[in-house]
This record gives sequence, structure tokens and C-alpha cells, in this order.
Amino acid sequence: MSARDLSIPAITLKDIRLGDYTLNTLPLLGRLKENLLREKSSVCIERARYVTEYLKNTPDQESPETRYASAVHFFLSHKKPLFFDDNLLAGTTCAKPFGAPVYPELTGMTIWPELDTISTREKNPILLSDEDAATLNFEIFPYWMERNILETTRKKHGNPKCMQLFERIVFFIASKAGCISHTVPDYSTVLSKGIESIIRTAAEEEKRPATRKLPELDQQIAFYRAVRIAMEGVIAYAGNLRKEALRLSENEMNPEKKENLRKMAQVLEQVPAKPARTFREAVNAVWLIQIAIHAENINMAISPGRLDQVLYPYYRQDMENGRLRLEEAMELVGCLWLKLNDNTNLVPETAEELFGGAGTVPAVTVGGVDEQGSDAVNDLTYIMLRVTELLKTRDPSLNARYHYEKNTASYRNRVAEVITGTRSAPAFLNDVAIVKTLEGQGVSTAHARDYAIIGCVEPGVPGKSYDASSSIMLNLVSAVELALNNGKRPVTGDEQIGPVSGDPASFKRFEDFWGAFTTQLTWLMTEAVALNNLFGATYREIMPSPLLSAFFDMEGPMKKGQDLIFGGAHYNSSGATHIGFADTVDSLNAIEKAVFVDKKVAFPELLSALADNFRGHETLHAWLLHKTPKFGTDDPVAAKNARNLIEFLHHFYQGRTNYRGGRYKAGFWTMTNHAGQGKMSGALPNGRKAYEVFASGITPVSQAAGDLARCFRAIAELPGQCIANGEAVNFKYPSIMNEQEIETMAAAVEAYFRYGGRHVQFNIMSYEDLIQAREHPEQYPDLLVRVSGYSAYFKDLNDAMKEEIITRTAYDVKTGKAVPFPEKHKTMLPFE
Amino acid sequence: MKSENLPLIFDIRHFTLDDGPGIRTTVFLKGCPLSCIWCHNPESLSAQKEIAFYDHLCMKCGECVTACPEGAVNPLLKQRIDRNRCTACEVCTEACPTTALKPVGRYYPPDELIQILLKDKIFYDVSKGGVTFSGGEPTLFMDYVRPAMRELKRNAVHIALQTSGMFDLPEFRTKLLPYIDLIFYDLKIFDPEKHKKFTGVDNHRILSNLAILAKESNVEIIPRTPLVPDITDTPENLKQIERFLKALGIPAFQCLAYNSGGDEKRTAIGKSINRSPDAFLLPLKK
Amino acid sequence: MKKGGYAVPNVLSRVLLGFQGRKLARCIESELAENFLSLLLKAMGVAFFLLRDFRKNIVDFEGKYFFKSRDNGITVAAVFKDGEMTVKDTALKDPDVTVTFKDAAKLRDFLLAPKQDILGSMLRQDITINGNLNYLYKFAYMAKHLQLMVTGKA
Repeated sequence: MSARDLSIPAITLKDIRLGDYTLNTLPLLGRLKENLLREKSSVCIERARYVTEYLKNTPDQESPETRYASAVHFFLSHKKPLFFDDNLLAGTTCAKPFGAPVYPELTGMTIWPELDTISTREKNPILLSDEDAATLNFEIFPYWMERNILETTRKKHGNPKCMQLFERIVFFIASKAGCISHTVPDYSTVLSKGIESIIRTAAEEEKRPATRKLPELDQQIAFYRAVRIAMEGVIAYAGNLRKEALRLSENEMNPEKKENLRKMAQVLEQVPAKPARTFREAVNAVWLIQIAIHAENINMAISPGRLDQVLYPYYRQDMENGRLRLEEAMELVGCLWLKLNDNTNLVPETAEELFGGAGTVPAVTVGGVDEQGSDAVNDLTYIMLRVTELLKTRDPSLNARYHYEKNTASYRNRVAEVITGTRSAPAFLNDVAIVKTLEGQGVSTAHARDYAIIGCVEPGVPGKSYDASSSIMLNLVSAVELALNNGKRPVTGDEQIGPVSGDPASFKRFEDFWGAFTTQLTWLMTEAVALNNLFGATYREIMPSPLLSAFFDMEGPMKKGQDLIFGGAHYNSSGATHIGFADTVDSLNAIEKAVFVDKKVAFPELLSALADNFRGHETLHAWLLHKTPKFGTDDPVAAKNARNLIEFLHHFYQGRTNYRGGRYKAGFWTMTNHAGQGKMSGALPNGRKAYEVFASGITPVSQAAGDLARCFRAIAELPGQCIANGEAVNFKYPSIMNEQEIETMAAAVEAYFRYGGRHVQFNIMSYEDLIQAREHPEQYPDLLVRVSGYSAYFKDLNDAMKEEIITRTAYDVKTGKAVPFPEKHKTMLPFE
Repeated sequence: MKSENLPLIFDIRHFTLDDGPGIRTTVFLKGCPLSCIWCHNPESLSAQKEIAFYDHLCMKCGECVTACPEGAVNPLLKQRIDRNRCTACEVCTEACPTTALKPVGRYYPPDELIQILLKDKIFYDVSKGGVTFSGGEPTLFMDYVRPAMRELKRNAVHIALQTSGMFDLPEFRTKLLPYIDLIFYDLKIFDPEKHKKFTGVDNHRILSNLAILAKESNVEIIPRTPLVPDITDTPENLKQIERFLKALGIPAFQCLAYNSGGDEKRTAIGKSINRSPDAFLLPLKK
Repeated sequence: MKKGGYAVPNVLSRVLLGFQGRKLARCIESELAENFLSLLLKAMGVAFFLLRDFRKNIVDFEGKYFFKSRDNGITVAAVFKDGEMTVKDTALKDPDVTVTFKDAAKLRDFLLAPKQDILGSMLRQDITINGNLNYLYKFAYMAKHLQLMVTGKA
């Protein structure tokens, strides 16, 4: 398909709201959504069974790439072709309508102890049949006992210190034990060329005469062979789906269903093997590729990216030819949205405390500018916004890019209106700032302008950057506690865990404390980076990604003959994110002011107050809470400490190289970890009490920033160039009542972006709404909330996370002032 | 201007939507020539610094009692502060670990004020908002307000003024009017005697200033009347105001719902809630 | 009735499992947990012996577990090999996993409490684990399954 013809307007819709289209006029979507909400999640062992069976029976004689590709091929070609409902798109992630696939290579075995109880456990049960439990217990898990990423790494490196530290959970989480995923593939190429063309390219490259050094050449040949094997698996699955669709259509009596099955079979005859010719083929191809990627990579934040751009040529052409009606386009987009909800994560009960309620976060990004820097908003952008507004499903996690100089105010206001309608999505992203940040990471301007969000909030370049953006989740508060206690942490007792950084009582200046804090931080980051690099090396040996590599830009892995995990992508990086940012900054502020500037308290007394969780130190507690500088206000001390911390982290990571030759990047988004980690941390100098939640993302501490305008500015003025791995800013309005308020909300976002803000997302809910929803979950089965970069059903969240969302500062959009927290629920606040 | 010559500002509110078009920042100057008995910003009346005490925020730690150099903090007093002794030196508010004791009024040198207001400029620009001067009565301090307005105008910021109309017109005309885009002009009570009774001053000047401004100036004027039960919301008062405005060619005026929020603040700064017995017993009429 | 692919012990088997099982069940439900580990391993041994389906768990399984209390008051080695479990009160060379527990009650709660607080247990260092976690997961599964059988919930 050619690039956009400028003579044709990108917006042909008479009403960008698409107000005439509702779930009543699109009854299929209404019906499918009801099904989705009713469906209970089930453990799906199909992939684990086939992959394990293949690997068990195939000795280790091949290269890791071809071996793993063959296992994936084996699974895809045996994967059951299933049609659970009347969705217009063929293909399912799992063999269950709403499945939680098991990836035993990663952390799938953490559910082993729960095989008998997972179906009935209290929090987010996942159904598991007795037969499947037995298969896992007797056939699948035993094979992986010595072979998953974690244990392979442990064995190879003799249970290294960094791994033991990770397993304490309260310092950092090295996510690679559970996934890399987190990426935005390149769909445009495969839609326009088809998989057969990728296979041909791989076959040609494989046979190309040797011009390079031998070991390298062997690896390249193995890579191309692996790509071919994996791609043939995808085609095999599509072929099986087509046969099944035909078979079902022959037996189907209902004419509508019959016709849908027949059409699906037609679509499958073309895609994904050959180039997509129609909008329907293109949408179904995107979905099939998403399924294929999950055959190889765990279902975590594999993000479709800029679908309003990727699918636009097909949409426009069909609309112009009169082959497609608007409601059909909306139905197809809606069907894709619902399909993206057909799978969920397999989370053991223990991890519910840290990650409970998270979806699989396939992020879709719309709007913004194109590679040339022009307004990229088109009809499909508005269709995707409307479908999101109508369906209000957990996934896909929708992100709206906004360029305040190029995009229109009506687009800006429409996004704000959708947020008001869904009460939580999409998130707003600042094109100007994010493009600049990416350029700062060496990304070319054209590529940077094509950015899309990975998972929560991390910017990546579709098909060009392999960012592993969720590699490290580091608890900043643990460094504060280690510094306060000379390398020990109250929650881990008397053990000398971190380096000796000095008895705080001996510190003369705030800079001495800062020095101790950064000593601890440096040590933690060094360990976390070391472990991530060890895990990366293990992936190379046992779990490369030839399939995903083939869906990257042709200039990347396919040209270099190098798997993503070996550095095949155009751009490489690893992302770290940080938990407890605002609590850490406010604790630094409190120490600076209370101990060193005002000399209100000396370290020994402060430490004993913290140890006592402020019991018997009420006056000091109140003073720390009310009279020390808070991040999110215009206090210069708070601004300085926030800036210094971000710059310190950024410079550390930028100086570290990952196993693919890319740099590490710092980000600030927390999923639900700020609640989980908070529950495992002691009292803090900012007045937060022990075992209470931390503030989310990079958002100021609950109730600490009373003034919206100043809060926006404080966040906007942080050094955005140093936040290359994204940040989550979570705000709450109790209500947005009318068009004028929507416009105010939108204008405030624009102002925030013009000040330099990069990301913001909202929950449009009052304290009372949320308290009500917590007390009566049955009345709010589909209440979606924005957690810290993704959406979740409120009822699925763990208690700590619910409390955090309830206590997040709500701002009155009319006055810009924080709404006081209801007196009778005050104990919920982290400092009460 | 030296600090002792500066007026006090008792609040700067960012992101206000009710004080004019768009997103605004509103500056509240302290000191008012009127003393309306219903005033919901009682801390705006006196031009002097005051100390507010909020009982419900007090944790009874006693830090203020020890800190006060005048012996003016008395834990036995319900109002906590002996207003006859208090010099508003702010030692107690510094010592208070909560925000139960708070100073009311702060000096902002003109440059600092301008800087604070211009920091919000992007909010004004994106929303067609601006800055509103309110009070108290901003026109009491024209020499202070003027440079701020001038600087804002130079930066193309929309300026609104909320005024009681009690000002010297010639001075207002030369010092402030050229910079102002919008005036919210309070017309509380038309009847001169009742006006004096409830606000403490005669309304002759208020009415004549408005009449002259309406005739000779192009500035947008929005007259406003707070609906205070049985004082300003009587049919005859509203009719009289309407007739007066019609004669001036001003088509409409805003009625503001009465806000009883002043009681807590009035208590906090040690003023009794002093009302005519029949004035406030009735519920707010719609 | 089947659970997890096993035939659940019938009344006869349960009688046979009886003595150890009842003791374990009592231990699980009571406040006293001193003998928990030895009761658990004994009941497991009986179950492996009597119940073919349960024995399937260890048929081709080789694993060396070392359990010890933090004060070294209790040291128990459990070795799985050739379809059998051997338990000794001695240290063990090169275990696949070492589980150190503060006291027996903590170990019991870690493995079998209805609402397990594994994070909390590890955090408070009620339990520390050194070695291959998958071995622990497998053991925890067998213990849980046994618990469900002897308490009649399987």
C-alpha cells in the first residue's frame, strides 16, 4: 500500500464522536462483550503441553534458535482451531474462551503448589480441570524443573548473590525470570507482504554463499532456518483454522453464522500467508500475528502499537471502493478489542499481592504525528476512540498521543471526552516531549515520531526498538531504609544486607545522607543489572525469539541474520522502573529539612520514631507530615531532590550496557508494585506509616499536593530527557459534568504538556464512588480503573491496591484544589 | 515598596474556573472598605495580618503555648489565641506541627507576585483564561496592583477584577482601568439605608462609579449580586438592581448563591458570628 | 471423585493411612506444630507406600531436600530416588534445595495454611530458601495434596 495520498482528507467522518453508533446499533459487539464479562478464566495448558512434548523428544543437537522455533512450530501446527463465539475474527490465543496460558520456561511452575486449589482460591480464581492439573504435575512441570530461565541461570552461575537478593523480593524484581515480551512489533510489513514473503527472504538468506566468518555464519543460517520454521507454523495454524471454519460453515444452519464462517475461511485463504487486501483481512492478520507471537513469547505487554496508522491504508481503500461500511469497520475494530481480551495472566496466589488484577496489557496507541511530523489523526483514530468508549474493556490498554502544535483541539477534546465516558481510558501522551526523549536515546527523528507505547507507558519504536522495558523493578524506598540503617532494613532484621554506608548520626550535612542513599542505590542497581544480564544470556541459550524477530523491521533481525535476543533489532535497550518515587523524594525532603535545615530532630530520635511507627512520636509525625517539603508542590527543595534523584538514576543506567549492546533506561511506573512493596516496608521520614502503600508511578504522595496547577507544573518540570523508560502520572477527578468541564480538563492537559509533562492518565471517580465499589463489588462488575499504566477491573485488585486507588488525591476540576478525604475513612490514608 | 508598605495577600488560587473565563489564577488582597455581615471571606476584611486557629486540626501538643513570646496562646481558651495580646508574629504558626495555626496574609514583593502569576501563563493561554484580582478590595491598593497588571498585560494575559465598587474613580481610571478586560462589579443592596446597615457603608459611590464606567468605558462589566437570604434576595432589591442596570444599558447581572463557608473562617480568626437575629435563620432560597 | 488426576483414597485406604494421617490432620488444625515436619514426612511415606496414584509423584523423581530450623535444632534430609523417599536426621551433601525455617509452625503455615502468606513468610525470614525453587514447588504440591486427602477435602 502506498503512503497516504495527501489529496484525500484523513477525516471524512461527519461526526468525530460517532454518536449514532452504540452497542444497540452494533448488537454483535454488545453480545460479545456480555459473553466476555460472564466468562471465567481457565488455565490453558495447550501450548505448554506441545512445546514440552517436542523438546522432550528432541535431543539438544540443534541450535537454540531452530530448536525453539521447531517447538513453537510443533505447537502452532497442532493448536486446536476453535471458534467460541460469533466474533468476526478467526483465531484464539488459548484452547479456552478466556485462557491463562502456562509458560513453564518462565514462571509457570509457581502455580505448582496450587494445582489442587487454584480453581477455588479466594482471589481471582482460575479454573483448572483435574486432567490438566495431572498433566502439569506429571508430564510438563517435571521436565522443566532444571530447565526454566531462573533455574538454568542459577545452576550456571552457582546461585549468585544478585539472584539471592532478587529472591528477597523487597529490593528489586528481575522480571526476566518471568518475561521479556514488552515490545511493539512491526505489523505493517507483514500485512503488506505476507508471511510467505518472509519465508522466501529467509530461505534466500539461508542459502547465500559464505562471505563472512564461520561461527557467525552458522548462527545466521540457523537464525534464518528458525524464522522459516516458525513462520511455517503460523501458516499451518491459519490453514487449520480455515479448514475448521469451512467444516463448521457446512454444518451451520443459522445463515448469519454460516456466512461469517465462510467469510473467515476466505480471509484465512489470504492472510497471514499473503498480503492483506481488505480491511477485514488486515484486522484478522493483526490478530493472527498476535496469537503467533504468544506461541513463542509470554502474553505480557506484546503491544500492537499504532493500529490507526497500520490499518489505515486498508480502511481508506475499502471505504473509497465502497467495499466497507462505517459500522462494519467499527465492528471489526470492536471484534479485535474483544479478541485482545481472550487471555489473561497466570498469577499464583502469592503474586496476587504484587501484580493482582493486571491484564496482559497489549497497548494500542492512536493519534499524534506521522514520521514526517504531520497530523496523523484519521477516521480510524476516532473509530478506535469510539469503540473504546463503547466497550470499556480492560484491554487493549489505549494510549492517545497528542501533539499540541499539530493535532487539533477537537481531537484533544474528544480524547478528554472519551476519558470522561470510560472514566479511565485512554492515557494522554505528549508527542513533543516523548519524541525529544527518544531522540536523546539516539533514535532518529523519523523513527521517534513513529513511537508507540509498550505495555504501560514506555515509548518504543514499532519493529525497530527491542526495549525489554520491564527488565528491572527497583524499590527506591529500600535504598532509603538501607541508608537510614547503615545497610540494614527493618523488615529484613539484623542482617547486614547492603554496604556499610555510615551511621546517620555521624552525618553533618544533608549531602552526607544523600551520599549514603546513593551508595545503597548504586549497589542495588548494580546487582539488578548484573542479574538481568545473566538472564539475558540464558534466554540466548534456551529461549530465543525467531518468530518475534521475523515480525520486526526488515532492516533489523532479518537483514542482520540475528535474533532479537542477540541484538538483532535496530535499537536495543533494557528498561528499569522504580517503585516509591514520591515517597522517596518526600523522605529525602523531610530529612533535609527536619534534620539539617530546621534541626527539628536528630537522626537517633528520627530512627526510633520510625522504628516505633511514630507511636509516642505524634508531634514529630505531624510536623514531618505537614511541615516538610512535598513533591508536587512548588517547593524548591522538593523540586531539587526529585530532579537529582531522576538524574542520578538516569546517569547510572545510561552507563550500563545490556547483553544486546544497548543501554539501560530509567522509568517510573509501578503496575501494582507500589501497593505490594509498600506493604513490606517500614515507616518513612515523610510520615508514611509502616506497611502502607506507596504512591503510584511518578505521582505525588496521596494528599500531599493540594493544588492541581502546581502539581502539574512540578511533574512537568522534571527532567523528561532522563525518563527514557516512561512514567505514569495518575490523577483523579471526582466528576466531569459537562462539555465545558471536559474542555477545561483537555486544556489543562495541553498546558501540562506545554510545560513539559509527558504522560497523564485519569480516573474520573470520587472517593465515595470507589469506597462504595469496594464495599459492594457485586454492583460494579465492570468498573475499570487506571492502575499505573494499564486498566484493571477494580474488583480484581488486591486490598492494598484498592486502597491506594481510593486514597489517590482527587482534584475538583472547578477549583483545581484537592478534595478533602472523607473524615470517616481517614484511617485508609497511608499516613494515618 | 518596602515590605511594611505592601498590602497583604491572603490567598493565591491557581486553576480557578469560577472567577472569569478559562482557567485562571486569582489573587486575594486583604482589606476591605465594606464589612458585609455575610462575608464568606471574613479574613479579607482586615488589612492586618491575623492568625487563624482551626480547632479540628489541633492535636493538642502544646508546642504553640511554649513558643509564643507574648503569652497569647492560651490552651484554656476555646479560640486558643488571646487576640488582645497577639501580635501576629507567626512564631506559633511556625511551631505548630499541623496546620491548626495558620497565618492569614503574606507579603509578596511585586516582582515575586508577577513571577508567580506568569508561571501559570500557559494555563491561561490554552484555556483563554487569565488572572483575576479579588479580595478584600483590590482597589484599596492600586499602586501595588498597577505594576502587576501592567506586566501581565505586556504578556497578553487577560485581566479581571472583582470589586465592591468602593473606589476613587479618577484614580481607578488612570491607574488600573487601562489594563482591565473584565470587571465583576458587586451590587449588593440597592436601598442606601439597608446597604449601610448590612455592609457598613453608603452605596452612593458604588452606584455612581458603575453608572459612569458603564457610560464612558468599553470594559466588559458583569454586575453580581450575592443572594443572601432575606437581605439581598428580596424581590424589591433584585427588581431595583435590574431597573438600575437596564437604565445603564447593562442587559444582565449574575446572581451568586450565598456561600455560608465564612463561619468556620470567621471563628478561626477569633471573630464572633454576629448576625441580625432574623437574617440567617431561614434556609437558602433557590 | 477425582482430584488432580488421582483416585482419592477410599475409606479403606483412609483407615490404612489412618494413624499418621490423623496425627498430621490434628497437627495441621492445632496450635501445636513441634512435630509437624516429621509427621508430614511420615504421613507422606505412608501415602507413597499405600497409594499408587500418590506414589506416581516420585516414580521417576530424584531430589534431595534439606530442612533445618534456624537454630539447627531440627535437621531433616529427605531424599527421593528410585520411587522411594528416605528420611534422615542428618545433614545432606548438595541438596537441590535447603529450606530453613524459624520454627515448625512457620514451616507448616508456609506449606499448608489455607491462606498462605508466602511473601510475608519469606520477608520475615520465617522461611529462607536456598536452591532450586521448583523442587520446593513440587514438594509443596505433594504436601498440599496430602493435606487435602487426610482432611477429607480432596
